[in-house]
Amino acid sequence: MGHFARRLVDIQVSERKMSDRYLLKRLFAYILRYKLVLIVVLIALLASSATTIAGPYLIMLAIDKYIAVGDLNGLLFISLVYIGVTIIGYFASYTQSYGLQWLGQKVIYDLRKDLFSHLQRLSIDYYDKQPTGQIISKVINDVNTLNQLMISGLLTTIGDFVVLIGIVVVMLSINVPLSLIAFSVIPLLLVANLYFAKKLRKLSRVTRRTIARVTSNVEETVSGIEVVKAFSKERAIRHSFNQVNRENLEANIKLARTSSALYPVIDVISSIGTALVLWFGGINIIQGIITVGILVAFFSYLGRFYQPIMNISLFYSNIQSAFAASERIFEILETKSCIKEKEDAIELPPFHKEIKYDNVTFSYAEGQPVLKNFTLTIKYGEKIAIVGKTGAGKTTLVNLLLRFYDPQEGRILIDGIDIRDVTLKSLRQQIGIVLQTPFLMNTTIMENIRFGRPDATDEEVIEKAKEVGAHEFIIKLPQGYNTKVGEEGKLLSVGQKQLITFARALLANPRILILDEATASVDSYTESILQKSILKLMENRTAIIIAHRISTIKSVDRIIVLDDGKIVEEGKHDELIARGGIYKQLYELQFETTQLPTLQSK
Amino acid sequence: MSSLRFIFKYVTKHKKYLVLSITSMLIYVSLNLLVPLILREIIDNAILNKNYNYLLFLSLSIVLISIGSSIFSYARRFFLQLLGQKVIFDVRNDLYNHVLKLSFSFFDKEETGQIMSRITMDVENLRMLIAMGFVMILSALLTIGSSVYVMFMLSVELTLVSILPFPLISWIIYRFGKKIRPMFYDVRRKLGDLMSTVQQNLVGIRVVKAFTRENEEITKFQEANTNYFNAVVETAKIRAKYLPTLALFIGMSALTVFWYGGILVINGALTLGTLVAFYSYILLLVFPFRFLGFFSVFFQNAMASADRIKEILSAEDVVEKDGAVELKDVKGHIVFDHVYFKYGDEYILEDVSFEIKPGEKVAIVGTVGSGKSTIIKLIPRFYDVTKGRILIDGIDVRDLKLSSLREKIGLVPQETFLFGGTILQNITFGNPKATMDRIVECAKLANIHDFITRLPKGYYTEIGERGITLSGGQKQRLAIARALLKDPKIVILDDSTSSVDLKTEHDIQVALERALKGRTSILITQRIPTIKKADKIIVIDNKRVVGIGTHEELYKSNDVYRKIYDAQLQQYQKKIGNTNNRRKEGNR
Repeated sequence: MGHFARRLVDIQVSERKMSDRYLLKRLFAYILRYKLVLIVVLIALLASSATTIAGPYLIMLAIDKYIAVGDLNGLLFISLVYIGVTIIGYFASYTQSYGLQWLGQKVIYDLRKDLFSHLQRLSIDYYDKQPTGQIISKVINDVNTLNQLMISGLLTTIGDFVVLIGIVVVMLSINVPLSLIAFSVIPLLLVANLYFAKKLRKLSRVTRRTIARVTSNVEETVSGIEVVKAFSKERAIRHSFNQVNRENLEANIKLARTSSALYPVIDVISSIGTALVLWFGGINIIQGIITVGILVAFFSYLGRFYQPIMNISLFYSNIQSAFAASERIFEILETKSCIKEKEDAIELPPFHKEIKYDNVTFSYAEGQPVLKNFTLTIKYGEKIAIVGKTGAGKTTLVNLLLRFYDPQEGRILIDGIDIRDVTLKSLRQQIGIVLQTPFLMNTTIMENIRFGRPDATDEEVIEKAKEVGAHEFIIKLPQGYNTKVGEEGKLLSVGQKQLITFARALLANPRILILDEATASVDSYTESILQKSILKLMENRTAIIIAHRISTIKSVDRIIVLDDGKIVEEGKHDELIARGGIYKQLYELQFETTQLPTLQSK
Repeated sequence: MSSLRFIFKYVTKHKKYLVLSITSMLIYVSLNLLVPLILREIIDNAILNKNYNYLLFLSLSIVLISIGSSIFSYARRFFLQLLGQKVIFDVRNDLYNHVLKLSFSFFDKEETGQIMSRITMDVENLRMLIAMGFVMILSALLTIGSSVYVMFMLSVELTLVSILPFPLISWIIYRFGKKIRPMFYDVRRKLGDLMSTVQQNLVGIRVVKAFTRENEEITKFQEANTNYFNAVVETAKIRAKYLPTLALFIGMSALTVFWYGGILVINGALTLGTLVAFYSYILLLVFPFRFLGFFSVFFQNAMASADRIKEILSAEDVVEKDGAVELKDVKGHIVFDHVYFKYGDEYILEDVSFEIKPGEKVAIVGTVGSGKSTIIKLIPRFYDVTKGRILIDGIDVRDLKLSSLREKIGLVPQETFLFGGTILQNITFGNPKATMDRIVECAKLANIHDFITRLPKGYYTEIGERGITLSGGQKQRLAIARALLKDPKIVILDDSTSSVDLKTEHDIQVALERALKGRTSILITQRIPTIKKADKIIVIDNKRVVGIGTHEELYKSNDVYRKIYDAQLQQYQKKIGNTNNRRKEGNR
């Protein structure tokens, strides 16, 4: 149990391989697709920063120029200017905020689109290595993290810089000595910020680790609840959950102890700055060097001065998780598909002669070949069955024909054309496959069947359902063909799902049909229905059946017996039995386990 | 509102942190209110009277107040965080413990992801409400209230003028909350759609590729992606308006202060210091107003989360009686006494009665959906019967300690679940202290030892996530070894949907025959030889027991059994292939 959790943690908190600069460059490439929006946002940002800075300045003017001398008209005038500035500020900050959100979401949208499209192009071996949950979390969560922190964080930080520089300039232009007094606490502020940033980064890394442990602990418990209960391990795993939960609590309290101090410390430091300004400014006013208005302006500038400094100095550690997220995203985008269509790939003409495995050698993992110098020819219209033990290489043959993988040596030819020279679409369109575990999409039965050929009419769909014998049960459902099948088709029985996948394959009308022991997981009654459908499905097609049960395959033209990646026997059922080799053994094995003593005795 | 009470129940367990943080907050807010007053003193008294010492004193007092308020600000934050963390620690523990106790009907309905997200995300939402929401709202209201109060003290006239925009601001906040809330839900729903589109696609990626539907899938995804984008941008429009609108009105408020206040100062009705202090108070209000708009979203989110958490906590669990007894020296005698079982509104089992004697091997036979699998799940109390009772060695299973009941039963479920970690860790799951000799013995019994030793790291081989690297048959045999290591008196095996090849089927068959010797065993299976070798066959049809007996007896007298058997036999005859033997031999 612990192992899995630890591995998950390793994945989540491991060090990064891509540099910050590289990641920023790639991200900016996405942002720069919308240059115009970016420019508008930046202008709005400048404008809203300017109005922010203008406020205290206007108040200073009001106090010194008009209130102090009792100029009512002037006061009215400056008030009107203030209204104007506020209204401009309203539009500028609306544009900035909306533009920023839009830009961020658009980048996210594009990133997701690229990610998803790329995932569709990646070859199957990628999915063998990556748990589905992790990929989903990359497409959804990582991309969202990126938006929250990178896009808005990055641009807001730019805004902070602008405001900061503006305030510094304005303060200096009003009064240099007072400005320098105000700036005197900046070094202290920076030191404090950087200290906290470093410490918080370290602490929050620990909390991320502990919450990942909580999550994986829960996941394993829930997925394996039946086993947990059957073995009455509740107490033990409750204890281990309590422990990880407590570790998480303690790590978070540690984090809270430090993070709660950040703002108060910054407040104290900035109050020192404020006090210095008031004291020094007050003396200056008494001595007639500056006016009250200047002091008031400085006082309100200071209120807007420390926040940007804090944001900027915390920026780097805030975006660490965004960097990590973006690395995971770009990692996918940079994964190359092992199966690539050639530049000059041709359309595979309609299959009409033969499929040939020519001296094929293939291994999933280096040094453990599944197929060795494998040669096999299948004639057009032939129906063959492949038999063999688990791991003999049956499914691999199919994976190679569909070009889910490419062989390391040798080639596969269809009508004399290497399948690596043709487009994937033209190849796979000619091959229909029914998998061992029927997979349906979470939509209606109609749409699931139509998946075989998206341009099929409803009538065609129903016709195919009738042909495979699925129509009867479908129309008995409350909503007939419009019944939703639920996530992975869980609202239907296995047999019903299988029938739908048959109809789907039939609708696709492939020239080559592959059945991956489609009848293994149903009871005998359903199996007899399915048998009929299979015969229907195989009519007028070249068929390859990966067989687990002898009953399915007695009627085929040829049986290929695989052992350890090689053909050890081939021929018709009777011939193979007569030969007395592996097939006979396999056959008898089943015969033995299934034989009926009473039958034997007669 | 009951969700709120639910949260408070947890919060009151840690009252002291709540009291500490609220007290700190009150002091913090009051101290902060002093600063504008000091500013007024500086302008009106210290500067005007050229009192250098008073000026220094006032300036220093700003630092002192800030130090004081910072201490309380720290206390407020820290105790709140502590409160939030303690509460979610409790909630998580309660959830987890409850999940462990839940009856299986819960897991049948809920997806793993849903349960996970409640224990992690929803709990986190609660924390946000407690650690930030509650006290922030209190603090916001308090700041607004006390600022306005102090302003009234300073100048009634100017206060009335400056709070003129407040009703409008309140209205904006209200409208904003009302508008944005459904939008946030919409965004969340669209995100859910997006997620399930991705999930469906990735789980079925082989099918997608085999049917070359990549482009259609991309189109489908783009639709969900666009919907999500549009929903988010809709909220962005509203959000982009909210803060600038607030700023606009607060700006107006500041303006009236200065324009009207300026006139008052010119007329000598107000000091300049008071005017500046007023201005500072208005600025102090910006943050509370900002927060109020989002609070309703915050609050509703947390309430929705609390609802989802409560759903788990209120789900029905299997309860151990107070005086539950230990099941000792079990013989393996099982009786179903007029058992009814209702699932949702529908009966799955009706009036099921049978008896299994110690050491008997029993096969349960029936069509799909007849209720077979439910029967065996009632024995270890994965569900409780609706009516009737189940006795083991004469004791009602509901009177037994759950752990002692389940310890005596070796269960090999329909779908084998293996944990991450090594093969060894998986086999010893039920009995971590087992000796290596005993482990090997069980693995041999389960016919999996040879396979394990052939692996490079043998028993220490790591199993991939969810046992991906093992075949179905290998997993099932590991599960058998795991069950045997408990040395159970009762073995239950659900084998109704095993999809394995010939060799594996044989291996499992051999394993079972060896393993079940000397134990009471109940098997759901389709294998004809297993059925025929059973001491007793129980036939289930349409929720009821329709026959009990040996193969010979049932074949003669029981229509349902004959039908099921014939269908199965036909399959096997096809396999055997000898048409000469096409005779109903059972009919003797």
